[in-house]
Amino acid sequence: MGLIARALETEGIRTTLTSWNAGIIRGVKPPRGTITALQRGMTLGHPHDEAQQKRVLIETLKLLEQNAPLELVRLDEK
Amino acid sequence: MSKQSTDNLDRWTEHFQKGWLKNFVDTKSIDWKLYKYVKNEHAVFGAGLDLSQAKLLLVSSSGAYLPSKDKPFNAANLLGDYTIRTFPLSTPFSEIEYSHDHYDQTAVRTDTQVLLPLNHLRDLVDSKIIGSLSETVVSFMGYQPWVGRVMKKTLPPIRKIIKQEAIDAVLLVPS
Repeated sequence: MGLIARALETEGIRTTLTSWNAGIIRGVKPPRGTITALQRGMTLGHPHDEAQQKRVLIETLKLLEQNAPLELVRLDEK
Repeated sequence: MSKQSTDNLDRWTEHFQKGWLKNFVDTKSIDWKLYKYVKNEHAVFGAGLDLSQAKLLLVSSSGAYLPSKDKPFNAANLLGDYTIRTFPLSTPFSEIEYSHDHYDQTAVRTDTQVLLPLNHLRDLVDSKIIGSLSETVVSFMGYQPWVGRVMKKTLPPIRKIIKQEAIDAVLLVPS
């Protein structure tokens, strides 16, 4: 996902992502993104925890308003 | 494909072909110790935008697809599946299926929005945080070890949708 984000960003499309896999995504250096301590298969939050899912979503989307590159933003979500 | 998107892609490909891929061809098995994840030294640049005026596309690597119109991804292919599927944003969750067995699907089968936040995104449009949404959702299967194929096969159809639908911004949600 990070590589696709980088490719699109260089073509003028703004991108953001969120990932639970900080190690790999840091190496890829996407233009914008958040990282969490959530688990694979529940990237935005726990099932039926709509508040958590929306927090992750909004924090990730808000990054689109900032110029890239940004340091990945760690969210306190697990 | 942008040359800037991946540092040293040629060198990565040579390492992949001589190591991970050669082992797979020779033994028909996967040895992740031979796999090198991409590490980019260079950042990419882009100006921010006004999200409240932007049209957003959701791209998911959940392996989601609609059995009513599409074939599943080839999850059994250890070389990966680099195709995409699309479905309407308005698709009822009950019509979505997943063909990606490289992650535990328990959570997404319990609550679709842990990976596909279709209702949440519509709520954010209603509350004027996001300008508008693409009527198309893009999905692929996130098991894609061959980076060059991601760039040559997965990216172009996404780029085409972005152009056709005049998308300003993309939210990528890995599985």
